[in-house]
Order: sequence, then structure tokens, then C-alpha cells
Amino acid sequence: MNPEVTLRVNGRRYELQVRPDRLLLDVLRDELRLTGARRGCETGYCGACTVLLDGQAVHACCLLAVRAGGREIQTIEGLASNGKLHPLQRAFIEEGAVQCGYCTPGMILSAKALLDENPAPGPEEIRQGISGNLCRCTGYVKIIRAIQTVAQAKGGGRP
Amino acid sequence: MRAVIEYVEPGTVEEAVGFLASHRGAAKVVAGGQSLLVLLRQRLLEPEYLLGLDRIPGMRGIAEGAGGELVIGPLTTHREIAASPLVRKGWALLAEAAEQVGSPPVRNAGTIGGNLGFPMIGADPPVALVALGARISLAGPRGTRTVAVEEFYRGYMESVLEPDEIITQVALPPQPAGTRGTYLKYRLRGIDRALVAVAVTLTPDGRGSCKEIRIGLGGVRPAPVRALQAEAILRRARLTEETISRAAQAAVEEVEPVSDLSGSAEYRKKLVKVFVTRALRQLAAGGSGVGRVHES
Ligand SMILES: Cc1cc2nc3c(=O)[nH]c(=O)nc-3n(C[C@H](O)[C@H](O)[C@H](O)COP(=O)(O)OP(=O)(O)OC[C@H]3O[C@@H](n4cnc5c(N)ncnc54)[C@H](O)[C@@H]3O)c2cc1C
Ligand code: FES
Ligand code: FES
Repeated sequence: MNPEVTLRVNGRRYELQVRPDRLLLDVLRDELRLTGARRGCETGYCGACTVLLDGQAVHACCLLAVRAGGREIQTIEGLASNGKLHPLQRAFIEEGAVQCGYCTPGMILSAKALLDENPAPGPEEIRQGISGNLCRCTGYVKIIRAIQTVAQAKGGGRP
Repeated sequence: MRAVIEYVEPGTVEEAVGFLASHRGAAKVVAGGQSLLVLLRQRLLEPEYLLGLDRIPGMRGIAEGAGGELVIGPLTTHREIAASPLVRKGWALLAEAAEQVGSPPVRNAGTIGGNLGFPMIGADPPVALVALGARISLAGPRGTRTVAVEEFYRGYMESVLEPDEIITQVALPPQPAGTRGTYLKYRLRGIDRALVAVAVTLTPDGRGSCKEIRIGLGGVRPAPVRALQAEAILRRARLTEETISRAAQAAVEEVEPVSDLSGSAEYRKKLVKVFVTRALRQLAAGGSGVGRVHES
């Protein structure tokens, strides 16, 4: 019999029966229909599946759903509030930091984790913060610029 | 992949090793899952049971022991080690190595116990553990034992950890007063393991020479090694361009690096020479504090 797990995703509670070897990524995408976390390399290298677990960026492809029970999970779907995009989402659009978009949810969540911890990172710290996220399109320059705009606009405060 | 039947979280070490012993081969510990879940998906491992150690007291966290040693629980993440003021205070070399692991998501989820439990060439923390003289505690149905980190590894992807044992602790002795350290890593891409890593701790004798020195090398052999010949040249000697060059050459000659997809043995030899030289020069130039670290 599969264990009961309570997943808290984007502020909502989901009571689920989950096979003990199910990955959080598969549960998010296939059961909760939250497809913002992408399936990429599935080996921890590309970061397309990045979600926030208790505020920290993790790879949903390398996490058992049963071990995520009771913890706060945030996906890209939970970032906008009251129909308004998160400043990082807006900045990615305005700076042209999105091309095919496959890396974008993971990239934005890694950026959010970074800014929540270090509101005024320098370019090198931004590069470090997104070093777990590959982008095959943009060449990173515009992504880094987008994150920088938000960091500066925040002037050191939290959003 | 074959379905895992059950995920269990035992409450004590005895329960955990008892479970592993009675399901020999069919049960695996899962920590951060960063390596294990990939093995599962690729069907390189097909356990029927997964064991989480999270409910067992003392498995996660960093503390100072009664004898001034640093005691780390196996479920402590690389991120926690890198950020720990206690680690930074007396064993900074380890924090610096933890900071060099993969990428933020890997450091957020990956643990020191899982890093040892998945003995991959080029891992960062073990190289620092070698230079700091760490000891690893293992618990099994026959009791507990403690091994020096160099004795923990056996060969390519092999360690002395038995299928019914768990890693319960990593302990680092207090470093003698005045000890300095450095950790340097060379890799091809930001997220990679080390092609070559060098960790050095040096205790000066107060008269300009080395009283004690330990040099750990990673990435060159399947398991991290100590450069004992190089250490012997520098012990009771001054760090000068001449002794540094002789020690770096000795390190190159004693390690016999492997060739693999990341680089040939010849290339690794060149890197060993460059990085041992760089690490020793940094230590010669000063740097202060116990286990203090310099960036490459
Ligand atoms: C993309 C990527 C990049 C990486 N880059 C680096 C790097 O640059 N440097 C580096 O050092 N490492 C690197 N790693 C490895 C990573 O740091 C983790 O250390 C590693 O994945 C294992 O830790 P884990 O906690 O995830 O263990 P798991 O994957 O959960 O377990 C790994 C193995 O250890 C066993 N195990 C775990 N805990 C215990 C225990 N307490 N007792 C007994 N057995 C146990 C498990 O049964 C399993 O066999 C990288 C990993 C990935 C995915
Ligand atoms: S899909 Fe998870 S890191 Fe690539
Ligand atoms: S926008 Fe295409 S991968 Fe980043």
C-alpha cells in the first residue's frame, strides 16, 4: 500500500497516496498538473526541474516525493500573486531573458532563492546562484541582467 | 524501474542496521538522493526498500565534541557545512570544499554522508577530510567502528562500508594552534567534480619551518590520497621556491593518476604539479587563522 503524503505546494495542501519511489517532479507534473518544473536531464545537471523547498532551490528530479512531505514547496506557478507577475518574471520579459523558455522557470526560482538570501548580489554571485541552471539559448547575459535589475530595484529589501 | 515496496524511517541506529541486515542487498539508505535516485532511474540499483535516517537523533547537525573535535552528522548538507560558523572557525578548509560542490541545488540537498556513501572520483569534501585527519564512524549489526578517511575508501566506487552498515558520524580533530590551510579545485565546467583538487593543512613550528603538514589530493586516483613523499620533504623544512618545487615534483611522482573521459593521466600529472605548487605558495605567503582558506 502506498504511503499517504501531505504535500504543501504554493500554499495549498494536497493529500496524496504516493509510491515510495516516485520523484517529486513526477508527482508535480503528472498528478498535480504543475508542469512549470520541466523534465530535462533527470540527473541533477540541467536545473530545468528546479523548485524551492523551504525556500531553497532543489532539483525535483532528485527528490523523493515522500521525503518532501510536510515541507513548503514552491513552483513557478505560485510566484505571481493576485494576477500580478513577480518582479523577476517581469524583468525576464522586459530584458528579453527568455527565448525558448525551457530553462526559465528553474532559472527564475534559483534567482528568487538567491535574492531572498542575498538581496544585493554582484554579477559573480548571480552567476554562482544560477550555476545549477543550464540555458541553451540566451548565453546568460540577459538573464544575469534581468536578475540584476530586480536586485537593484529592491535596494536590499525583500519583495 | 522496479517498484520500491516501502520507504521506512527507523527511529534508532539499531533499528536501521537491523533492517539493513535482514534485507541484505534489498534495502538502501537514501539521504539527499542526488546520486541514489539517478542510480535507481538508470536501474543500476533496484532496492525494494529505501531507508531515511531523518528520525534518528544526532544524524543531522554540526557540534563541537568534548575533546574540542568537530562532530558532523551524516545528513548534514554541503550547504550547512559551508555556512557553519563553527566549521569556519576551526576547520575552514572543509567549509571551502563544501562550497565547491556542484551547484546550489546539489549543495542544498546533498549530504556529507551521501558523498562518502557514493565514493566518486573527484568529490570535494573527502580531500579536505584527508588533510584535516577526519575519522568516520560506521554502525552495523556487529557494533560500531571508526576508520580514518584514507582507510574508508578502497578503490573505484568502493569503500569499506558494508551493505548492512550506516555512516553515523564524521569527526575532525581540533587543529593545532596556528594551523593554516588551503583548498584548491580544478574542474572543466562549473558544476563538475574535481579533475584535480588539493587540500593542505600546515602547522608552523614558530621558527619559520613546518612542524606538521598534510597534503590531500583528489580527482587523481579513484579515492583521495595523501601525498606522503611531498609531506616528508616539507616537514621540518621551510617553504621556499626550492622546497615547494621539490615537493610538487614528489607529489606528481607518487600519485600515479588515472586516465578517464575527463582527462589523461599525463594531463592530471601536470595539474597536480601546478596546483600543489600554487597551494604551497599561498601558504608560504601567509594567510592567517586556523584552517584558513584561500581561493584559487
Ligand atoms: C549534478 C551533480 C554535481 C555534483 N558535483 C559534485 C562536486 O562537484 N563535488 C562533490 O564532492 N560532489 C558532487 N556531487 C555529489 C553530491 O555532492 C552528493 O554528495 C552526492 O550526490 C551524494 O549525497 P546525497 O546526500 O545526495 O546521497 P544519496 O544520493 O542519497 O546517497 C548516495 C549513496 O550513499 C548512501 N548513503 C547515504 N547516506 C548514508 C549513510 N548515512 N550511511 C550509509 N550510506 C549512506 C546511499 O545508500 C547511496 O548509496 C554532485 C552531484 C550531482 C547530482
Ligand atoms: S531535470 Fe532535474 S536537473 Fe535536469
Ligand atoms: S531560454 Fe531556451 S534554454 Fe534558456
